[in-house]
Amino acid sequence: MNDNFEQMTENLFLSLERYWLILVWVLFAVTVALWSVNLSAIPVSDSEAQLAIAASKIASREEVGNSILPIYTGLAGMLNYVFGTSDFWSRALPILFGSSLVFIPGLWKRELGFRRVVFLSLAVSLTPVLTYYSRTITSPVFAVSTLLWLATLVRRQRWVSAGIAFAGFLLSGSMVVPLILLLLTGLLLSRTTRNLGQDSERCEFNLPKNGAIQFASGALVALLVISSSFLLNPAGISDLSSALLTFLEPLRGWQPLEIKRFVVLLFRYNLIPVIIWFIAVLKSGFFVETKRRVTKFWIIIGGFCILLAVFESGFWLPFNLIAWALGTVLFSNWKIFSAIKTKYSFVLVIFGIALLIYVSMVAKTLAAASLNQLSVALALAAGLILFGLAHLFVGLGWSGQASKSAALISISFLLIFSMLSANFHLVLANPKISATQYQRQPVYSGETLKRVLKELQRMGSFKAGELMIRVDAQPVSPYLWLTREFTKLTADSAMLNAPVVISDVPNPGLILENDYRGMTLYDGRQIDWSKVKLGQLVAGIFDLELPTSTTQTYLWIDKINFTGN
Amino acid sequence: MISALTWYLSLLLVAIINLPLTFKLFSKLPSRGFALARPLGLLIWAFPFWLLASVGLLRNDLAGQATVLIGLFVINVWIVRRSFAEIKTWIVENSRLVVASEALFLVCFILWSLVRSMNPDILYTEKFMEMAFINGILRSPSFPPLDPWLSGFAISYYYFGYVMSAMLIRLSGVSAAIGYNLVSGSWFALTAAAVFGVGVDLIAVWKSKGKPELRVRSWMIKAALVMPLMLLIVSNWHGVFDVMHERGLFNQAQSVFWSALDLRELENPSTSLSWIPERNWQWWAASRTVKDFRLSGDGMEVIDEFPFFTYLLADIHPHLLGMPFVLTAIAQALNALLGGWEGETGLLGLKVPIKTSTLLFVPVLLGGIAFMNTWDFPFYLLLICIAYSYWRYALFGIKGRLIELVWLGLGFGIASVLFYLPFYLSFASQAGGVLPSLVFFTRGKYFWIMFGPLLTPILFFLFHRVWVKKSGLQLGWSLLGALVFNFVLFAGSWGLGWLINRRLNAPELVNGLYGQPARNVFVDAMLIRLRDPWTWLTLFVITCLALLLLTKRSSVGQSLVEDGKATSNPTVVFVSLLILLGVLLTLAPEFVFLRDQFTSRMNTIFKFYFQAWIVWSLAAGFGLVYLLDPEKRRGWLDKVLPWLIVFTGLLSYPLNRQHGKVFGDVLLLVLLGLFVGWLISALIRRHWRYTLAVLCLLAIAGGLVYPVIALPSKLGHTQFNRITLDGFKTIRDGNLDQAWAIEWLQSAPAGVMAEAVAETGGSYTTFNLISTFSGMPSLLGWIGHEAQWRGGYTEIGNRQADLETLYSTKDWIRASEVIRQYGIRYIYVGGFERQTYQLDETKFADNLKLAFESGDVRIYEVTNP
Repeated sequence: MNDNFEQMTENLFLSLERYWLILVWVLFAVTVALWSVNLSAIPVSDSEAQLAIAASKIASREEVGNSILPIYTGLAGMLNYVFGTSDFWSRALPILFGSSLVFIPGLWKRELGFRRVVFLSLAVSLTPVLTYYSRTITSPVFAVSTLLWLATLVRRQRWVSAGIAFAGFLLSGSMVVPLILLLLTGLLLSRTTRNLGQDSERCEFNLPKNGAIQFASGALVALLVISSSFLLNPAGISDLSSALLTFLEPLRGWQPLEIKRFVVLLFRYNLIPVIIWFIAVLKSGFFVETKRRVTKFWIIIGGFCILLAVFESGFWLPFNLIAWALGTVLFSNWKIFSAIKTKYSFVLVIFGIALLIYVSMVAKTLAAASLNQLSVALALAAGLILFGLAHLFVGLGWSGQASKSAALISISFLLIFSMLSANFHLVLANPKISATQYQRQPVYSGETLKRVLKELQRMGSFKAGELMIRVDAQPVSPYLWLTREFTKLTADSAMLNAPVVISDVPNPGLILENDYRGMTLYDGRQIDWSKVKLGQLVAGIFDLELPTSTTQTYLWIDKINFTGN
Repeated sequence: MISALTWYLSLLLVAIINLPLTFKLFSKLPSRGFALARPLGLLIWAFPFWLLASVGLLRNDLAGQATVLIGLFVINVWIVRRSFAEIKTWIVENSRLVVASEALFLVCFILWSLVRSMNPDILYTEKFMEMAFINGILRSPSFPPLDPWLSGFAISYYYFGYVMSAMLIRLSGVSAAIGYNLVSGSWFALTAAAVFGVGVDLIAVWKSKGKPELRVRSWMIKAALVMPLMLLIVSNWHGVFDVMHERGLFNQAQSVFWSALDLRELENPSTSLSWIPERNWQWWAASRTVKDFRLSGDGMEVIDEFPFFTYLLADIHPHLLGMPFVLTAIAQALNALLGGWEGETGLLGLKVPIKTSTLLFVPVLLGGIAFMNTWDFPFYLLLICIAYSYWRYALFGIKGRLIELVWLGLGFGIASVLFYLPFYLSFASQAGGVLPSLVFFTRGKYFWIMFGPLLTPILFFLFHRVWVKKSGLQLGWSLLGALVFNFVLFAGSWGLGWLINRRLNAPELVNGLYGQPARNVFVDAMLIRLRDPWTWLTLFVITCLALLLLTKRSSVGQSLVEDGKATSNPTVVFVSLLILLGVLLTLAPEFVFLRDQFTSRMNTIFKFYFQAWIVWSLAAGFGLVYLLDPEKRRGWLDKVLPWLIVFTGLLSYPLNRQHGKVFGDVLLLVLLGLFVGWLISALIRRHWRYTLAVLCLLAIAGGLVYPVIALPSKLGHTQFNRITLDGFKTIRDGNLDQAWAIEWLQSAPAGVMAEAVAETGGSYTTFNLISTFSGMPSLLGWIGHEAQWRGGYTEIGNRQADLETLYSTKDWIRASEVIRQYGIRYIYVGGFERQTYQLDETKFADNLKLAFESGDVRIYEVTNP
């Protein structure tokens, strides 16, 4: 049985390699499609809304202020100019940048080998962290993807393209400087090893003079073109320094540590990569002298990313990619089905998977309920004990090696399923949960607001794009963005008698109460981590919603918009 | 404290980033321009930022500034890539100079910031104007910046220095009101370091006699400290006369001495008879030493500021802001004289014998000077071009040099304008040409009181040098040159006067200027000048002597001795050029002055004499070092006496304050005795040069009296536990509601604001305080100043009356018409508004949104129709 499986997998990889180009494009398309689902359900933070609004204004040739993510505003501005403003186009760029990473393993085929390329490409497209960041307008996905493209293109000696990637990297906002510092630190620390790296591990880098000129030209032109949004916003060239400024900005005031956020994100989305990284640490002999400088470099970088993730969740993204890369090196030669020598081991694997699924479901119930629920805890314990016993008995009775391998396979499949499940939840089930878990700032979904305005529009109170809304609430941008399909993007707070007013005080300005009808909106969700208890923390790991606070705002609508008083 | 630190670090960052460029641009200077890295860095940073923001490629914000800084970093990294070893070696070999420059900067920065912190208020004189400019620039999204005192218009003034100030304020993160005072402190330090650097170069080149191996030695560094002293601390002799007058010397009823001197505030007998003048604003009078007189005998005020006064006054005017940069221009001229421009650039098919970096940099520098303080530009253009031409003359002889000079001047002149074209397109100058100065000229007594501390070392240096190098000098050519020069000026002036009188049918212009029928003016003017020729004579003598020293070839590019004849030392040549430039600056106003709304020499003397002080202080400083010749070993007497004199001088003020005027009498006698003793000892030893040096020191000591008496007078009764750099503090403490309104406006969206304007125009008052400190463009600010900047009242139009209507009318329709006409968004109602107008606030309350309220201060915001 084993030999058949091995032969089958070998044949499979051979045929895959022949059609790899087609398959990677299919994978890319599937990834894009998957990540594009349910985009309008993703709540928006203030910074995302500001960026999206800026891109929209650039498309309309209006003046905009500084951009904290010039690569986004520069490119999205042009996209909006061509295709118009929508939720899809506002989120298309991070999706494209994130999903482009599936191509990168293929470009390292010579160095990695085909099996690893397949493994890595799949891991990239399925990793939940990348799924999350590819659906948000934040720095990590742009910074990491452009950096990886830069490294890849330099390796391939495509200098002009590398220059363009470098330009994109420099314009990728707040993660740029930390990533540069991280890489430099890792380089410095990895050079502390006394042994030189083996030849196969060395990165030979030779930059010819012609290449330098091409690189510089590509970078310069791309910097100017992107930052100015293809000359739609010439003053956007000022944003060339945004990476540095956004890095320095938080230094003016320390952000509080949120350890609980770190714990939730670690266990919910990053458990597998952390396990892989840990195994890599052990297997690479990190704590003894290593001859593998490159591997050591990435392990150090990964370790720093975990530490930095305590301060900034965005570091989970590079960590994930590093961990999966390490994983491909470690596990790609693992003959996964070699453990399944007989029918009993096959049964054991299936039994193990079923038990673990049962255990995870019970654990989720346990997390949702109080810890005092003894019966639930007993059920969980029973499942785990049964899993252990089954493998013990098989090991004793038949083959210890086989039972160990079977256990590992079961656990691996479970982790893969949980990764897929996390992706499913991120994309389809409840994007709000992940948004509140990842973001430091409140996120706004605007469901009630949009529902009310849609209803008014349906009643004929106004036409799309013609409604005047005065936003008197802070922050302004999320409300502007969420209502843009009904109105133009303005927020002139001097518009005293606008038909619709969103305010964060019960009685905003000179409006007389009896001319307006009001309702309270509860939006602007944010988790107050300082108030989250241990039990709630565990619930968060199982994707149950953590207690969130909401911002209270008031929606006032001029009664004339209602048919009848 | 933190503000000062971040400010210092910001300047340091700018300097360090641009250090490789500095080294490249001052390649022939012994100091490599190290002390100029900060001003050069500021200029190189500000110019592209301003230019790109003017054409819409950058925003006027921190991101735009940082983008340019990053670009400069990349350029400098590229430069240092090739010359890292050279720079490193230089720094190691000249570590003393590096440390001395930095220490001097730091000490001066701390000291002068401390002085400002004892008197930080941004009040009185024209501080409001500068604060308004800075805040207006900070608020403007691009350039030209919006005028905060005339909404809808751009600033019509030389605002480049304020752009640099605003850039530093942004980078360092300090508030504008603190930044204002830090500008004063840091510019003092920038100037001190820059002039010190130039001084080091002059001394090093002098001693190396123009040989290529120029080493900066320790004694040169110490000697060069004279330069910042001469430029920034030494003042005019008004202080000496002030203390003498106060003490009652020559004090009789109808004193001939004092009436002959006719110095401002020193006409009437003193009553206190102490050594320390206690008059209110005593420190002001020294800046009004020179007086002009009509033919009728009526006196006219003339401004004759000098640097110490300027910094003490602490109005950050363009002439103050330009100081480090004119010193950079002087250094660049010296670099040119030493062959630092050697190279070739292909330009429009021509081969220009100047290296490319210089060809690009000089227009940026000169154009920047023009953009900061326009009338400085032609003089430093002249200096730079002549210095370069002199180098060419030293190498290739005189043939063709004049044409070259003309082309060079034209080329750089046009390029300087073109580089800063966006400024000229939006600038309306108040100057309306040149007028002949027939009657107005500087009396000899005033000239010597004004420039005595500088003229003494200059003359002694020139005399000694000419005496020592008397063989081979061409007296005939020098005399001829001096006469021709004077004749040209005289003929130009009298000719222009004749032209105005006769051909332009404007005798009333002459009459108006001089208060006499025109036919008398020419003759009478000549007669009064002949009666008091001392200024002219002084300048004539100086011109002759300086030209004598210039008639030899420089030793640059050649051996020291050529055909058995000694050639001129490059430093001596350069110092002679500086002296002659000073002569031009002081002689020209004797014959012409700039036409502006004052129709007098007030502004001309102000601008020209100030620049003369800068160039002459360098020359005088060098002259003193030359006469002292620090390299020579001195006896114990020569080492001890100066310190004794300094010690006595330092003690005189506090002892006099504590123990009364008798103590002062004794101390003065001791001081004089020490000086005389020193002089006699030098004479006895036949150290003629040293004797002259001692006399110079006496003259300079006279120039140190003013700082000693003026500083306490200006700082007043400072309470040391309340010192602060915050120029807004007094205003805030005086009216908290108003201060909060300003803070609210600082973060409110931009829009035109209405606030009260004084009936008389408001200049020099605290009217328009709101727009000054918030940067929000006001409908109208200080009327007098706006008219002065724009050469009239056209742009101002009817605004003053319309503001009255807006505030006073009870008719909302009329008020809303005014609002609509000017696009007013905010209407400020506070104390001045209630005081100035018959305010009807009800209409605002009924029809506008109350955007801010605190106490009796309200800001109404206009809604969209």
